[in-house]
Amino acid sequence: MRTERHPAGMLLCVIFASVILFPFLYAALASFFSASEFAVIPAKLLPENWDFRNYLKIASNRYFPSYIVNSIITGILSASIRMILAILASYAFSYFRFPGRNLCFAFVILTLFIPSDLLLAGNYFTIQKLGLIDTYAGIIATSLLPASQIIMLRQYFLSIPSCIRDSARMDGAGDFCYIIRILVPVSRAILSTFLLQSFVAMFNSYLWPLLVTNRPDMRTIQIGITMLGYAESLNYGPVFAAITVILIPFVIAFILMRKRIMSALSRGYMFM
Amino acid sequence: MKRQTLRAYAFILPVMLLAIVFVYMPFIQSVVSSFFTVRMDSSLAGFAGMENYRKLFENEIFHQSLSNTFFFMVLFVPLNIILIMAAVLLTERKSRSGSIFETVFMLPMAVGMSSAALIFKYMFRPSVGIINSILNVDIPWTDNAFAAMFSVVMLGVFLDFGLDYILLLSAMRNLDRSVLEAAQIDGAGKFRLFASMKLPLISPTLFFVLFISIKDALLICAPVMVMTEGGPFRSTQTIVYYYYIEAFKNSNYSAAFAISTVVFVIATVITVISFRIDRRVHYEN
Repeated sequence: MRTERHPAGMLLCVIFASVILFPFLYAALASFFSASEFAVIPAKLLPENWDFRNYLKIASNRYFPSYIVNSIITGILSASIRMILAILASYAFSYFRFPGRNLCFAFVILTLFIPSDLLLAGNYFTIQKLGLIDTYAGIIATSLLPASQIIMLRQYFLSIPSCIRDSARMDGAGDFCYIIRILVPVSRAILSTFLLQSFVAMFNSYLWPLLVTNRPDMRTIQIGITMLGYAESLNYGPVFAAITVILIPFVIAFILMRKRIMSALSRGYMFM
Repeated sequence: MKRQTLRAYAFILPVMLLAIVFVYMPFIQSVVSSFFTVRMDSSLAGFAGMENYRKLFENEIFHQSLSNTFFFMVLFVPLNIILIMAAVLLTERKSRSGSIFETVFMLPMAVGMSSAALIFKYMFRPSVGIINSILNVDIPWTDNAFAAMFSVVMLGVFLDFGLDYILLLSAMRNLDRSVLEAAQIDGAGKFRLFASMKLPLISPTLFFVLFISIKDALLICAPVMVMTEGGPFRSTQTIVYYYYIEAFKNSNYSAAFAISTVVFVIATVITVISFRIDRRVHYEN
């Protein structure tokens, strides 16, 4: 049922939307400011010159490219490992009967109730002892347990009629064959949402990568932008240019995948 | 049959190991260590009993951090719920312009925490900040304790907006239309329909959003770190940020582990209470 909305409701919608969009808009506009334009009273919204000097500054920054590369690599690694582990575990939890199954499942799910930010110190020592400071393995280590995804994926696998698996077995399909040929294609929609969610979570994580990286060339982008070093000279332009550069692909991805994200979230809301 | 069982264990082995190494081990370590004097390299120097806790509870900064956190919670949770509920009610019915607003309302999900915190930090600068110039005021956002806390609350609402909005919107849209239409035929007005039908029906999801809001408020740390660094004069320093400072700035692990154990206890109490209430919410439906 599609109807036109009430004018007052429309107005409120516009107000809400402007407030939410404002930080995005301001970041994009401020990325064109020169250093002196940040110190004007009252603060201005539109830049004087629309040139790309801040973007050029970012591009020629010594570390900025490696920040981006590090974030993309750790994001892809974390997202794909999480997905593989989630598929394997959910497969075992939904199709096998084995002693201690419910206990193991509870063991994994209970981790969701232990706030990870309070484990920073303990995990830092573990990573240090393993000699993984300043490595990709160290950066992604604490993100690899896909507990909430296992809950959703197990539920999803259980909803697939068991006769499909039985007939696949009759045809001689082993576990991996069944997973790759049937389970993965059938759950493509939910898995792609998981990949996006895991990638975004890793890409945007802050505290943990900050702790386990010391070398500037190992930092990820979300830490990098707070350490670009322009702020000391009160020139925030390049910082906003960096923010805008990393924001654009995410905004596009979210707009494109909006429907999928919504349906995945409405199916099971265990994104904790 | 035996082989099946072995295979199942092999499939869940990686996640079990990760749960042990990166969740249960550090959890037990921090709780146990909180009763010991801890050296700089995290090894235990000697049993301290309740000594770490006694010091902590006598510590002025601990009290301040804890009360800052609850102050944040009191501002953040209601504001978050009210604004999200309003956005959901505004876009609940599908319409031509609706999908544009839907997209905008979920967009904060796309922003990284530290990007958002930096943007807010510069927007909320006193005198030269864009917020002051648009509102035509001169609020000392970084010098006044309440103003600084309020700016952090705004950041918190912005960061959580997208996810909470989608959760509540999809709950609202998945309601059984026939029940609502029956109520409408019986003469229920718009407000009545919302208060007596929709609100109780979505209460499990609303309750879930409330629960995550409270949990997020209790555990907020990184946004504060980037935006205000706890200032001015520790007025926005939250309890988890205090834990971070004790652990990684002061290398005072005895204190850090005691703080984290206190927060674990608070988090567990909140979780248990909310599960109790949650059961009641579900039963009523």
